[in-house]
Amino acid sequence: MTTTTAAAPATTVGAPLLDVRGVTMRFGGLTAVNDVSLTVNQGEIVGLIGPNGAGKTTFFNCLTGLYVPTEGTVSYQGKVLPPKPHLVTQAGVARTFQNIRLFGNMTVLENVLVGRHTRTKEGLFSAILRGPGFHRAEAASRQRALELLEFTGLAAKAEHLARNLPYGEQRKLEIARALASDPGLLLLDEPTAGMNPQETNAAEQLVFAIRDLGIAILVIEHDMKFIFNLCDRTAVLVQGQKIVEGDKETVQNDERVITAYLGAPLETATSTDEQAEDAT
Amino acid sequence: MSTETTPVIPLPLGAARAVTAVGALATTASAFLAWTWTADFPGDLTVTGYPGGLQWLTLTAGLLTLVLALASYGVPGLRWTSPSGSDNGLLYAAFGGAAVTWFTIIAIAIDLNGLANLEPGGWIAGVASLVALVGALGLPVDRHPKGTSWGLRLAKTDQPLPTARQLPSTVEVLLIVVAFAIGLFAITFGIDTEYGELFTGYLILAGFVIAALSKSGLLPRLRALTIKHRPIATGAAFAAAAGFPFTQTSDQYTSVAANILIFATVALGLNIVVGLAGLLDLGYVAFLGVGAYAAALVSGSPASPIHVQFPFWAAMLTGAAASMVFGVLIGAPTLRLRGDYLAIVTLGFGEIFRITMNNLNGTTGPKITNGANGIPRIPDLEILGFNLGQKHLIAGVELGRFSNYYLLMLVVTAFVVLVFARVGNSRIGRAWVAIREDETAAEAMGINGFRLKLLAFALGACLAGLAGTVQAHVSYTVTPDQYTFAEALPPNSAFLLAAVILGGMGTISGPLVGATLLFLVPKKLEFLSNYQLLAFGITLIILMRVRPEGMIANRRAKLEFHEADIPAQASPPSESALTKTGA
Repeated sequence: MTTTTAAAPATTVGAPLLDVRGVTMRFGGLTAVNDVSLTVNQGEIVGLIGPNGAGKTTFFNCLTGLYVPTEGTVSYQGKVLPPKPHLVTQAGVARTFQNIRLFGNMTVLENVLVGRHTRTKEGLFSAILRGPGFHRAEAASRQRALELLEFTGLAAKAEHLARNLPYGEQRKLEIARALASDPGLLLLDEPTAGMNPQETNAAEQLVFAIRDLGIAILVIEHDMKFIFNLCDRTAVLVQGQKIVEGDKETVQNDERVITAYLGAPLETATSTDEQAEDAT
Repeated sequence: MSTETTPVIPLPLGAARAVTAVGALATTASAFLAWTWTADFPGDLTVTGYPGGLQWLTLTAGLLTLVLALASYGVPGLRWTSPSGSDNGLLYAAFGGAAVTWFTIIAIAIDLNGLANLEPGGWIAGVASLVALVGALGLPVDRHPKGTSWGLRLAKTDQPLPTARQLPSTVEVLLIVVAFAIGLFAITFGIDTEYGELFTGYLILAGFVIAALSKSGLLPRLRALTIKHRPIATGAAFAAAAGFPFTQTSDQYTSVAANILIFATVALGLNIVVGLAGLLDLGYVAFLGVGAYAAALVSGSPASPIHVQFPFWAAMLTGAAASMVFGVLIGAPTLRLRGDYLAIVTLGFGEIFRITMNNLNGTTGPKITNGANGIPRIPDLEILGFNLGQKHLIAGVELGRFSNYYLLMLVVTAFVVLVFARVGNSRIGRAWVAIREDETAAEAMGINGFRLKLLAFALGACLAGLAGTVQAHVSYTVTPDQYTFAEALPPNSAFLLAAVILGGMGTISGPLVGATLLFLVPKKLEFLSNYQLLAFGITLIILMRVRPEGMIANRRAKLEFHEADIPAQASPPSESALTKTGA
């Protein structure tokens, strides 16, 4: 699991991997995601930012089959993804969760082994009969899981309970678990939420290392520095709509983005209002 | 979780040890005295020079306290009994001695109307056991610091044991065999208790002895040995269980034991559904019923409308398959529900099964099950010309009908244990636990939640059906009323669930122990008559208060237990998360 050898092909951006066309998600009268299109190419890191409540996580859930989009299609490697989470994972799209959702009462190693589920086939009878095939598959899964723990720096804690890990390591474990399904595309939902600068830095290195393995990444984040350090392209979602997409400069200088985040034209208005209230 | 090692009653160490040892010796000796003047109290405690009934329990507790007290002195040759080097075990043993002795004294006073019925021997025993307890309370024990909780509360965190002396592996194997032989003796004693007082005393003593042995470090040592020699330990456990009928002179208690095994096997099947996959099933006893009815219908009983008699293996397969089909039929529509909703629906299905069996009586429905009369006169099984209904002479011991069924059931139980162990520790088992922990995350990891839950349901049903086929033959008759949600006697859905939760979810030995207790307690406490369920409920509350993880915690729970020693670092950084998200 060296990252340097795979680095060369990773820098070249390949064919489209994930193709999202006009996804709309309505909950009754509320349109959480409105006609969003997005592509992620092979070997790319794409960022998705937006203020709180912009619909980023809802958009993620539409991609991973947790929600069935009201309109639009999501295709991966040219095939439309079925709206079932386990089939999406099987197709090669893995994800992490904004609020960590580990299997708390399982060990770290077992968590990663669960991630291997779609890539192994041993069923009930194989488990009862325990033929040589079963032992081979278990050993292979274990081997791969330990590799991934080594990769994310959790190997020393393989036998700990997941819920007893420190926060930063729980985030790492979620990533290791997602990687265990051998994905072509990894969706990260706020991977650095609640981390200190050092941990954020380490997370950045980890994301680069994953990209160097040839896995494309779509990441939601609030930390601008993190996003602009990391991403080849960034899309901005505001009130369910994608307002701009492009590289660092395009996004940073876009007026609508500044408006959405800082509320520039409104700022004077509110301050005058406050002054007016103070005066009365 | 800081602990301190201080005595509860401040006494000089030397005096405390001496008092404990003398008290224990006196308790042991007092078991040989006459405690009451009349043989009216069961067990005949009137004989001087020979212990009887409850006195045996006091004797056991006294001897254990004495041995542990001598080990506390560091007497060479006895130090192995307390590998942890802590006096907590001794304190528990002394507590057990006092509890069982005073229980006996109170039982005598109540049964015979008044303390006047006690002979001096009884008073000596009571005082001696208290002396031992006071001495033990003066010993330095690991406990929570004063003021944080009530003064007596002993520390839960165990220090890691010092490494064991390396023994030749033959000696280790021998130790395992001896331990299981003692276990067989203890369980046989419990099943064979003839009156409620003795059984209650037995339960009290068993609780304290187990606590004492685990605090002294003997049980953890034994556990380490059984893990090291797992195949031998499994074999020894099986042999000990198979040895039970050979210790019995009549069929009275083997029938109890056979029914315990049936109950325990079904509880183990339920543990797949509840303990591994986390699906709360309140109608599980219906699957036992389906298996039993299927077996009864093809048993060749004259009351069965199908006049066929399947051979034993075919009947078993029929029962298991019928149960599995029923499980899939119930599971397919209901497993889309989660949590409480699933519990309610399964509760309903359990009742639907019973009512349907009642109605298939020829008047309110097709005549299949004879309604409330059930299917009686189910003939005994015959396996390879070996009729299980007749007495057979094996190894010089005459085995009756129930002994035969007990041994057959033991094979079924062993099979279910095997299935549980192997499936639980595999890709499928991990997926079940993942679903139990967080279904959404499990699906995001590529697990087909519905399919795996259905698989858990079907496998659990199939194993219960297997036990049902034997049950039909053991009890001669199947009636709908055997398969209710709750009543005073097991097996029923409520007791099955209690056995799993009480014993320890997700473990193998947990439901076996839980089921044994839940079967024996109502059976032996019949003297409480109307208060039986009340007493039972109080017992459950106490057990859940003392050990919420169940009597036998599973590997994961143990790990959590163990890691409590390490200072917790995993505090959710909610504050920093809040400040960060604004960035």
